[in-house]
Amino acid sequence: MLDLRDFIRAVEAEQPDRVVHVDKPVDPAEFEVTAVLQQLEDAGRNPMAIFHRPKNLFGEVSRFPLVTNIYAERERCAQALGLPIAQAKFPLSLEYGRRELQRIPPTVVPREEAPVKQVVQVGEAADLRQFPIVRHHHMDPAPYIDMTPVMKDPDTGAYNAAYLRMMYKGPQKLGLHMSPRHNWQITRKHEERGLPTRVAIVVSHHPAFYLGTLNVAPFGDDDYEVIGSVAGQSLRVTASETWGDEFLVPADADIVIEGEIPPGVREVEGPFGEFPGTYGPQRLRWIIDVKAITFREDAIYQDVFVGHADDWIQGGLPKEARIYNLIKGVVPSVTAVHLPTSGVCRLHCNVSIDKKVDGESKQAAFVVLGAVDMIKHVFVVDADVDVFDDRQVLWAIATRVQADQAVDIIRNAKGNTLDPSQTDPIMTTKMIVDATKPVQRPFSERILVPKEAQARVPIADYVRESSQPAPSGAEASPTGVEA
Amino acid sequence: MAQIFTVTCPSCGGGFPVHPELWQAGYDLLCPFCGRTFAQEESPLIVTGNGERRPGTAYRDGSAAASASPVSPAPEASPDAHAESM
Repeated sequence: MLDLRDFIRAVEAEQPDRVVHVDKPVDPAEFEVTAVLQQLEDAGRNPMAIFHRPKNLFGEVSRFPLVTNIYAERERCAQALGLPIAQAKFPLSLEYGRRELQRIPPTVVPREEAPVKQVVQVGEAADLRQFPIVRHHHMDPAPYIDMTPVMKDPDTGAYNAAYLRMMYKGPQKLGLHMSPRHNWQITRKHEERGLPTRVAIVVSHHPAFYLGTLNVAPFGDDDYEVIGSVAGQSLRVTASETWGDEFLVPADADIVIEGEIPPGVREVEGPFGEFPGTYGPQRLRWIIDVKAITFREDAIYQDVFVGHADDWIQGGLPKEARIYNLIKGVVPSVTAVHLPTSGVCRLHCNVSIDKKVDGESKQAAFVVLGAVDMIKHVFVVDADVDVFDDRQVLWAIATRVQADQAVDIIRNAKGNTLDPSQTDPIMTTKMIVDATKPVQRPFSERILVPKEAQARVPIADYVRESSQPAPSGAEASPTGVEA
Repeated sequence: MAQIFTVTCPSCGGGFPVHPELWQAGYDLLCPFCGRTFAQEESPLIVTGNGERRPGTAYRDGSAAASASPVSPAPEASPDAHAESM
């Protein structure tokens, strides 16, 4: 059974230095949650943060504690999927890719066995103001719920879950932004038939649930099955309050909001601080009329710090194995793929290959650009460069690139509307940087301190910090200079 | 992100980005800073996607907005199938 509390306890036990607690009351709607996160980030820290006394939209201390920044470090994503934190780099990506290809059907449980039904509110009792909803950035016009609505395809019955932004508009009303992807398709199908679209917003659940929603399975595949596969166990679901067995909701979620998107209705929504770290503009978007709210007695509210590592890492991670597997079919010498946080885990892609033939780097880069249209710049490096280390990638660019020979520009390719650098709403310019050494001619070797020498003098045994007392007697410094 | 107008709020003077789809539909705008809802022609300054700077009254009939935009607004059914942030 997926339980958010189990995850939090596991992180506390295994990575206690990566969890912080805020015991004093804070007002999330007045930027005070993100203000704490920003200060931590500025200090070079990205811990999971638990706010024990956040205020709700009534201005009172909410009954719901708030957890955020869960995904801001890959080690916690590894823990969420049951992997050792030592496997948080590329092994995590590969494991995600392996699980994503499989399917585990959900398990339907009666409502009596569903923790999310411990408290049920319908009608006016289902009041969004009870939650500590977060206003993230200075130009966001209202607090936003930024977790995952689930919708159901009216033709196939398949469920689809996706991160979408939802603007607080009233006690029973949210604005909803969608781009033309899977949930948008489901909504369009309902609107064409003049029907409201049913939606269950999973506001809080075990992080494996959310990592599962980030799958790139084709439209029509049932996300409840993919989520189960990514989580490594069947997702327990139960009947909704509003539509009964016709629409199932995650039984082990902490909080679920049920509502309907009325057909043909659009209202002003945004601007909103988006993933590139810039604002998306105010637009005409859908609304959700809230019908019911259900939650656990001990529910914890959850939020993602959008436009920061918490948002970036979980968006990039699922793409890495998919890209790797595609490259592998064309360039078998590929060794790793990474979408770095420096490129918001969307716009930059680092690829390492153990190049055997000149031209393989560009072949690999073509695959990347064809696989994910969000990616704008591809950096291909040799296998001696760690693609997870930006300093190493930049070193390779500095020492192995002649721009007139190693850089290719591709104009008029499909991009992402939220990329602020685009001068066209759809199209963008892409770049391939081949930072690999040539195979066909000699090239200066990278300097190297012998590994066996490093093994002979491990710093744990040989290095004394200046603050530590100096040894006495024979091991004392002959220079007499001691801290 | 070419399709942005920057609109100045007539109450607090704050500037914020607006998509042309909203602009051209003639909807009132919501200032994210002070919460005021106002008609587009009330804005003292609008900077269009191609850098033109005019007061909102210049767009009263909607035609100036359309001509000022350097690109056509994206239709609702945009082919941008991967535009979502994740």
